[in-house]
Amino acid sequence: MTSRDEREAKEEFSLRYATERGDIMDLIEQRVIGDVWGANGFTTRAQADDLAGHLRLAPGGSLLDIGSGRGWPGLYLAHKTGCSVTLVDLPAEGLTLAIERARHEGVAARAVVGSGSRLPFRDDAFDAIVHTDVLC
Amino acid sequence: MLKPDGRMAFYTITPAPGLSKKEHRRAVRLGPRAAAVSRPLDELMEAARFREVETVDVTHAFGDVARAWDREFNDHEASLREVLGDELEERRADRRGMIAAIEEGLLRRLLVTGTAPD
Repeated sequence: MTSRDEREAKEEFSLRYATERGDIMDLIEQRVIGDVWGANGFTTRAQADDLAGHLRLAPGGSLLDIGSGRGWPGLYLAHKTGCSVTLVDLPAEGLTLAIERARHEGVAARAVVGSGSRLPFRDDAFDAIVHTDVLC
Repeated sequence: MLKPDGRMAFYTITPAPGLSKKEHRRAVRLGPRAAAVSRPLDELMEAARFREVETVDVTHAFGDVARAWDREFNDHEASLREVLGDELEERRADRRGMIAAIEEGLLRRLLVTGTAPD
């Protein structure tokens, strides 16, 4: 993804995350992907459950979700498996909503505003990394 | 960033292999932002010394989900217009372009998994 792509994505999703979704969007998301996270992509809940197995997530583990939006699927995976999660995305607006949800659900989560191409983490920081339709 | 033996798993949408230049341009245009990759993903993972690299084609489910979004947007058009305004048509057009690209065999979605070097 180029810097221009990143700028455009940040602008588009900042606006989208800052906009009230309405009950109709929640209803549609539930029917299409099987859960409600403010997502509009292609990862269903069944596929997220598959990811938990592929990533071998477990309590005490650490997960990095790149391009996490409002927390799908990283926050969901942390809630499901008991691991902690670090959420990274370009727009802060979605991360703010994700951290609010993490507090409400008692999930160990932190958020970092940043690009997937320039991640500010040391070596050996995570047990698992996930991203969904981000680094295409 | 991954610990030794750490796991990576991701879904990605890419142009299908073996496309002509014209088809590839259409796939990139109709796909999600930056849907372009120059080498097979399993090769890229192995070049980064990942082990146990596996790739599963989930394009069929991708098409099903894309069509489900489109169907729901059609069924709830009036309500969505109140929420999304002009953005409704933009989103529908983008999604329909993507559905066309999937059905033409131009785009595919993959699940890629692997284990970091020990």
